Amino acid sequence: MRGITIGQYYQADSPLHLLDPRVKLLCTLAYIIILFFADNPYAYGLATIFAFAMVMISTVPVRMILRGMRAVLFLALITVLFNLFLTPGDVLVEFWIFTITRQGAQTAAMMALRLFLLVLASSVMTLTTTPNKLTDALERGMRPLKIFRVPVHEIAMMMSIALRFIPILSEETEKIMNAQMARGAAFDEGNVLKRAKSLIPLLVPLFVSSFRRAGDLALAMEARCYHGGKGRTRLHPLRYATRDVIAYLVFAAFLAGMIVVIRLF
Amino acid sequence: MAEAIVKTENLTYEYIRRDAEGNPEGVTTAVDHLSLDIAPGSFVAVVGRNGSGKSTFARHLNALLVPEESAVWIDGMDTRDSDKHLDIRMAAGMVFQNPDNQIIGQVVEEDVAFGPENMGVPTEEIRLRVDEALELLKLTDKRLDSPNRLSGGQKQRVSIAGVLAMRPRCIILDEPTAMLDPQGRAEVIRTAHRLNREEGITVILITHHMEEAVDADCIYVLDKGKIAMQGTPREVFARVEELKALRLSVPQVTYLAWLLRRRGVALPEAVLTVEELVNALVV
Amino acid sequence: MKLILDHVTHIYDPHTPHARTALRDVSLQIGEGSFIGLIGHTGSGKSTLIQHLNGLLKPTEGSVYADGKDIADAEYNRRALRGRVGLVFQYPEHQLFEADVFKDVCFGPKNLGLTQKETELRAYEALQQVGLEPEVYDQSPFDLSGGQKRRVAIAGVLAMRPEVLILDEPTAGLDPGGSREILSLIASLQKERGMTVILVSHSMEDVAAYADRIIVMNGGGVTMDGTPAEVFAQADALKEIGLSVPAATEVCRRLYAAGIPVRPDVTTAEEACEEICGCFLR
Repeated sequence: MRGITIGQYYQADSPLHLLDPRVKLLCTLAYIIILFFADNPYAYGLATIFAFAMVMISTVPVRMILRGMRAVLFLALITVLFNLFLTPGDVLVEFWIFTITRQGAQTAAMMALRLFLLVLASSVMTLTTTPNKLTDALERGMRPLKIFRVPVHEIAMMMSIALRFIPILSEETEKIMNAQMARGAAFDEGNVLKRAKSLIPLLVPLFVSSFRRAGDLALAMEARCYHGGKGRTRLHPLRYATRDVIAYLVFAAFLAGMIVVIRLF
Repeated sequence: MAEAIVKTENLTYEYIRRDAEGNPEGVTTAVDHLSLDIAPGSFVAVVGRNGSGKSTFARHLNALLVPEESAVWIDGMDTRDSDKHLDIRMAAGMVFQNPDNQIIGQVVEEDVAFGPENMGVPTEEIRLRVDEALELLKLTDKRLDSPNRLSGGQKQRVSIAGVLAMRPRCIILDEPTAMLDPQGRAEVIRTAHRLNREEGITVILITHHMEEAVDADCIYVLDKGKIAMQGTPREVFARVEELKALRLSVPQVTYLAWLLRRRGVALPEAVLTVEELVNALVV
Repeated sequence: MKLILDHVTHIYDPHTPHARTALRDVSLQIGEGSFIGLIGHTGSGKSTLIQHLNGLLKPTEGSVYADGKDIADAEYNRRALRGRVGLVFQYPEHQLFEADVFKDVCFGPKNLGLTQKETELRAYEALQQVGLEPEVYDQSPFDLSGGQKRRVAIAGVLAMRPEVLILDEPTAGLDPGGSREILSLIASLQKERGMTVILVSHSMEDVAAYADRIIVMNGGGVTMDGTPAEVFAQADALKEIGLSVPAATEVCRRLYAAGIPVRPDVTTAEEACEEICGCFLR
C-alpha cells in the first residue's frame, strides 16, 4: 500500500514521454475511433504494426503493458466466444450443438484484436504521461465544452486533487482498519451481509476524515488566493514544440494509410 | 515605530452553539475584544490552550474570517473590504496545522507554484519565485518529488515555500508543528526564525508549545479569547504558576530554575536555556 | 501476562523493490506490571514493534510468544489476544464511528463475544476510569472536544480490560494541560489495575517522569534497555542517534562536568532541584 502509484505511470525519457499530453490524448482518441472502422485484416495489420512501433519507442517494458491486458482478458474471452459460435455463415467446424463459421472465426479474431489494441493504446498513453499532465490536457481539451457551461476547470481541479489524495486516503484506510482490528474487529469473517456490516467501523471514520480534509483543503486553497480558474496562470503551461508537430504529422500519415486500406479492401 | 503590519481593534468573534437537534444553546465568544499591534519585521508568538481562540484569531488575519463590528487591518488594508481579500492574502500568507491537508500539488514545485498561479503571475516569474522559495527552504533537491514521500517537517517546509512564493510581508503559522515529531518541529521553528531574520518577514507563530516561543520578540498568551499575558519571553516565562493555570507549561529548564529560585537559590527571574542555568550556577 | 519477542525481524513488502526492513532481530521480554517508555525517532521501528505485540503484524523471521504460546500459530486466537493486549494508536479519536459515546466504547468488548450485560458493564467502567462525565455518554463522539474524544477512544480499548496497554503517542496534538491529564490518567490506571503500560513517546521528560523502564530503538533494533537513570546516563550515545535527555538531566550532567558534586543521573526536575539545592544551599 505504501508504494502505491496512481495511473501506472512509467518514468522514462522516451520521445513519447516528452510529447505534449494533448498530442497523446488526441492521437489515442483518434486511434481508438479508427479501430472501430477497421473491417479487414490489412487495416488491423497496419494498426498493430503502428501500436507495436509506439510500444518500442516508449521504452516501457512489455511485461508492464501486458499486466494492463490481464484486466480485459475475461472480457476478450467472452467477446471471442460469442462471435465464434453465434455468427451465421459458411460452416467451418461442427460438433455437438456448436458450429463455427468462417465469418464467425474472422469476426472473433478481429474483435479480440480490436480490444487488445484499444487497451494497448490507452496503456501506452497512461504509461508515458503523468496523471498530472493528463489532467492538464483534459482541461485544455475540454475547453470548447465551456460554451455549454461545463465547469471544465473545476472538473480538472477535482481530478487532480483526487489524484493527490488517493494515496493519503488509502494509507488512512489501513490505519483505521488496524485500529479497529486492535479493538477486536474482523473484516474477513461471516457471510456477505456480515462483512458489509463490518465495514461500517471503517467507512464512518473514513468519511469523517475525508470531510475534515476537504474542509481544511478548501481553507488552505482560499488562503493561497484560489478563486477559480479565472485569471490563473501556470508554472508549466502547455506549449506545442516542434516534436509535437512532427508527432501530429506522423500520426496523420498513419491515419491516411488506415483510411486508404479500409477503403481499398 | 513603523505602521503596524497587523492591527486589530476590539476584535470579537462569536458563534452560536447548537445542540444535537440544531437548536441554539447559547453564544460562545471565541475572540473577545482583542486589540493588538504587530510591528513589521517582528517575530510574535501567540500561545494558548486548545479552544483559547488562537486559531479563530489567526483566521481573521488572512480574511478567512471577517469581523462584523470590530476591525482588522493587514498592512493598512481593512479585511472587511472584500475587494482587498486577494491583496490581504498576498500580504499575509498562512500555513496550517496538517501538512497533508494543505498541499494541493502532486509534485513539490507545482504545489509551491499554486499561489502565484492563482495570483496570475506570468509563467517566467512563477518559475523564478518557485526556485527562489525552494532554495530558501532548502528543498531544491526535492522539487520534483511527490509530497507523499516527504517527512512531516519537509511537508511543512513545502507549505511555507508555497506561501513564500506569494512574496508576503507576513507569514502566519497556525500550529504548524502540532502534528510533527521533535525533529520536524525544530526544523519548522528554525526555518521561521531564519525567514524572519534574513528576509525580514514578519512571523506570527500560533502554538501551544511554550518552548517554541522562547526566541520570539513578543509573546501573547490567549485565554478565553482575551489576552491573558503579554511581554517578552523572559517576562512571560517567569510566571510559571499562572501559565500552568492556563493549561500551558514552561520548558523543563525554566521550571527547574523556578523550583530552585523558590527554594532560595540565587537565580535570575526567568531562565530560558540549559546554558543560562548552568552558567548562572557555576560562577 | 508475559510477552516475549524472540529474534523478531519484520520486512514490509518483502521480495519487491519496495522491501523495507523495519525491525531487525529484536529480542525483548515484557513482564507484568511495569511502565515501559518506548522511545526512538520517526522510522526507528517503534510502530512496527508495537503492532507485533497484539498480532496485527506477523514477524517475517522470529517469533512472538504470549504466555509461552507462539501467537503466529494457525490455531492461536489472535482476536482474544487483542483484548488482552490493548493498543491505542496515534490520534485514536479518528477511529470513533458510533452514534453515541457509549455504543462506541461497547464495540471492543462486543467483538470479544461478551454478553450484552457484560459489555455494557465494562463500557461504563471504562468511561468512568477515563474520567468522562455521564452527560456525554449519550452524545455523539463527534461533538466532543479533542481531549474528550481522545478519552473516549482510550476507554474503547480499556473496556476490553487489557492486561497490557500500549499507547502510541497518546498526547500528540493535545495542549500541555490535556497532555498532563492523559498521562496522569495512564499512570493511575497502571498503578490501580496492575496493568503493564507501554508508552510510545517523543518526550524524554514525560518518559522520565512516568516510566520505570525505557527501551530505546534505532534503525529497527533495540539499542538501549534499562531504568531511566541507566538510559539517560548514556546521553552522548542518545544524542548520536538524534535523541536527547531531559533538560534536568542535561543541567546536572553539565554541573557535574564543571566539578559540582551533583548526581549526573537524575531524570526529573524535582530530583534535579533536590540535588542542586543540596550543593548550593549549605
